[in-house]
Amino acid sequence: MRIIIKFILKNVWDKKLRTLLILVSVMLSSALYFATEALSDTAADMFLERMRVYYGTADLMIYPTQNSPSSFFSRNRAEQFMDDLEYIAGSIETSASLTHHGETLLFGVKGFTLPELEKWNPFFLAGEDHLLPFRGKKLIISKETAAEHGFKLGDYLELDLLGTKRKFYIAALAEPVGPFQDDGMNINVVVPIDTLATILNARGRVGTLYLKLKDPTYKGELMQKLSTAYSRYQVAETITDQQLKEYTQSLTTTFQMMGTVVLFMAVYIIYTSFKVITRERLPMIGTFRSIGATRKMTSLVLITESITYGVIGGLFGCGLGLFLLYLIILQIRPAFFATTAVTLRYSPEQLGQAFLLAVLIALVSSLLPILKIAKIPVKEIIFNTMSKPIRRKRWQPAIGLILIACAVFLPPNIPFQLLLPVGMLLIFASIIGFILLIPSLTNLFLTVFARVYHYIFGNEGILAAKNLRGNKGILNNISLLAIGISSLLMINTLSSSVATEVTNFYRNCNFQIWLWAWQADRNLEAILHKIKGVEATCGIYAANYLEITNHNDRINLVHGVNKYKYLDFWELDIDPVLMAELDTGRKILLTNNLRERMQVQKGDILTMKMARGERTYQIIGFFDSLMWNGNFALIAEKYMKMDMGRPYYDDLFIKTNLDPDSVSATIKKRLERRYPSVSTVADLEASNRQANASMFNVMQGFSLLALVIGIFGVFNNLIISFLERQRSLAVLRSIGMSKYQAVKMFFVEALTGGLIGGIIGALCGYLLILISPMILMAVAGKIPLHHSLSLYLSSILAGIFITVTASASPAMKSSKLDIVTAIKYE
Amino acid sequence: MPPIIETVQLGKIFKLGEVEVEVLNSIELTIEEGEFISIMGPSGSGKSTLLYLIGGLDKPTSGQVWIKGRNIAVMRDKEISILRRRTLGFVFQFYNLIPNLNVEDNIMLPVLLDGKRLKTYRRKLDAILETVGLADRRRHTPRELSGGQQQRVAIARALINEPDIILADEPIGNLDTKTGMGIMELLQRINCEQGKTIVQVTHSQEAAAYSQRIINLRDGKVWEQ
Repeated sequence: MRIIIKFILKNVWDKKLRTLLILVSVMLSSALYFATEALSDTAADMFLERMRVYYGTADLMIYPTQNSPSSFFSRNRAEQFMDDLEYIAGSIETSASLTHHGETLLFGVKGFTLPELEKWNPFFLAGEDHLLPFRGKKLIISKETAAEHGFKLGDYLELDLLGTKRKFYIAALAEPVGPFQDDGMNINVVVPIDTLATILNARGRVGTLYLKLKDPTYKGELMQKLSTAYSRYQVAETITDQQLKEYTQSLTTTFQMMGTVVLFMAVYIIYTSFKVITRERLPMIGTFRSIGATRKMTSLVLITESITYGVIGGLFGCGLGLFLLYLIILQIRPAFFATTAVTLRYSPEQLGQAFLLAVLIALVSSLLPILKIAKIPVKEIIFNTMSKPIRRKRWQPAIGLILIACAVFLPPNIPFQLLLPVGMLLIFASIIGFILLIPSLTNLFLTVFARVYHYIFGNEGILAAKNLRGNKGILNNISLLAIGISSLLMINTLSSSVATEVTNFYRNCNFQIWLWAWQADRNLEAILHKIKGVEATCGIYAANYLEITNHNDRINLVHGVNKYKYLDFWELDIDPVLMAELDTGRKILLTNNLRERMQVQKGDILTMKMARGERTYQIIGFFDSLMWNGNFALIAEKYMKMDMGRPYYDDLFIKTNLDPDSVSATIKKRLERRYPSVSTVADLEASNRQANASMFNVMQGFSLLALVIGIFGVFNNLIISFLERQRSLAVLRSIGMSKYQAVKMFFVEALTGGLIGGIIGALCGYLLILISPMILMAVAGKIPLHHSLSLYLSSILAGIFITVTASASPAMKSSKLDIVTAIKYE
Repeated sequence: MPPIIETVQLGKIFKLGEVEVEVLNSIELTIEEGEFISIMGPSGSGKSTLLYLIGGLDKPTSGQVWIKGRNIAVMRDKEISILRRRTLGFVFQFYNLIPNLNVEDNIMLPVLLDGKRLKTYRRKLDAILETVGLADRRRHTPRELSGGQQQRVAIARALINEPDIILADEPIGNLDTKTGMGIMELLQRINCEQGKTIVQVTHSQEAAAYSQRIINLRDGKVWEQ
């Protein structure tokens, strides 16, 4: 046994490039698997961390709505449930502004007692000055925000709080965590709750109560009890599992898809590499078996070799996975998190799974070739009589065609709930289908190319085309290129289509400014109309996360619309007759995305849980929109006001006839005391585009990684192919092939392989792009995909470039070939 | 008329690590057009090396090889490649056919490499296939042929460009006696009927008996019979 292992170790060492290729393949697969798995937890963590600035560690919150008798309430009724709670933290929250160096800074002011703040959202002080007792006009601010604006401990900030300027003393600087994180909008500060209560005339009461349960499974029951106790206030979960799932799923699905493509390529590379390894080792295996080694023994040694690749690749893969996760988070986290250190969240189990996956990939991919050679009788190995005529696997193209047909014809018939899993399956069915078709398609292409090549490349072109028929190395290259190019093509098309749709989405806006302001109503509209540059306004009533009880689903955004104005401000493809019909009763228009998701038809009834109880709405039509990823509906504004009890607009769309930026600045200034959130549509588009670009940059990175493995594989295959063909090349040289002709033949072969790989990759990519709307529909809504001819052409050119570049080394080697050595020895 | 093959002070030294092994030492050899020569000698005597030097597959350490009055030792790659295509034909012990090409394609390789149109060689191909007795196997790949048939394909390939010289390295070394004799008869016929100069390296006295002259090599020197 020891001598066999020694021999194999020597072989492994001699074939460094191949060893590296296998290790890199295993490593990348396990790294991507780990990064994708841990991304879900890290992204959830990031989301929760981001939300902590608003909700702390609380599970539930109680707050007033527009229907509540007062903006403040007593905490007594909640304290009855103290036995079930870890803590209750009461707060009063308001906004303030500060004019600083000519700029208006907006503040989110939270009133807390320090002990409750500590429980609600643990924080760390970086410095303090007379912080205790925490009473009077003192505030705590993030040290980073303070440094950014030049505030120091002991400074006074003159905050404009509800129209009155009040000086607050900076009594402490806090680390930028928990309640003091930068949320990208306001400067968050904490002041004594009593101070705010006095200013707001709410002594002894709170504006919001945060509750943390001892036993989270009791949440539903407690919510019911609290809802009874605070019947005119809203009792809600701080962050629902659904919100968390939606946030992480949209992130991880795409990464899972790419990770699986890479895994697929890795399996393919290891499988083909082991086919060559076993073939090369065959004489050695024959010799060892002839002197007494059993089949089990030789197989075990090869299996150990593959497991060793898995173990080494897995160890490095876990390290690389951590690095990849760090890079992904760095890329996709919101800009205002940029100064915060990236915290990776992963479990030892995830690392263990990634490691195990590495070992499994190496083992499973190598098992088939190892078992195949174990079956060959020793006599056949020694006398080299085991090569039989190649049997053409006629079932391969047939299965390939069936898989492709499934991918083409199944998508329209898949129910919404199955779109994601079936979509993923069809993606892989398409790739496998094309791989099975590659030998037949290659022969077809070669028949055509051989006729043309004579005129372009002369007889060397014909010879190259003949050499390529049935050349396994080239077929492997074509497969690798097809997988790499098709996935890159799909990701690039998705990314450019999403960018186009974002542009189209905002292009449909016939207004230039989007405004949210406290208690926005017709009076506010009147004020806006007096501002120079404001041409027209449209107030929108909106409701979020409305439960549809008869479908066990929910609609994330419902707009209550004015039938006369809405379409004038927002160009949606809705028949004005349908729009007018909204006003005739409780009627609703749904996006096509919701139609497919809920499997509903025109005329169906939706029972919606609204603020004033359950209401039934009849579906009168459908439209396309990417608003809230297509989870969006329209009802008439009068019913929204009636059923949701909405006295104020939630959003205001503003048309301008002057530069939107300057009008937006004027509005901010004019409505300063209402703390408006004003954005120009152009800014919203830019930030949305930026967010999508960050995400797609990472995905493109993933697909490029897949292509890099592919290139590694192509390089390896060309070298292997050269080694296998050394003798044939020597024969050609002996019968008169010059060095120039040899190099030319190699380049034509590489070019042809690249061209066929590129074309098949483009065809496969086209099919993947046809399927991917299913997956998009499931995770992000209906997004039309835009095919780009130039992208397809550049993919084909990339295929040619890769193989031609990779063939440089074997081509050079072929010109330096020692004919006699190569030809003489069998 | 100069001899068709002539070697002058031909020497070849191989380096095996630090050790230099002199395989050929000042070989002086003259072969006239139309001759059938056998080179014989014990293993390691340098007979195959001599054949490869004559065929331009290897470079001599010293001396010259003259083919039809031209010193091939100083030829550039392109010139020597053309010489191998048009003037020389090789037959090897292990046939050395291209496995994924069929009989026709293997035979036509020198034509392809010479940049000629295959169509113009159709008749010639048919005639050669008749000569080597493989007219009914033209679409077969090498793995579908016996050893003797494969060697016939190799001979046909060597003949297709009508070279003046056929160089054969142990042409029957891998065949049974009966098949081997069939191949030797074919070579002899080609020598007699087509006037080709044939130089073969062989261990076999029976094969050597078909030649007109035998050159014995021992310790890198010629001991002509």
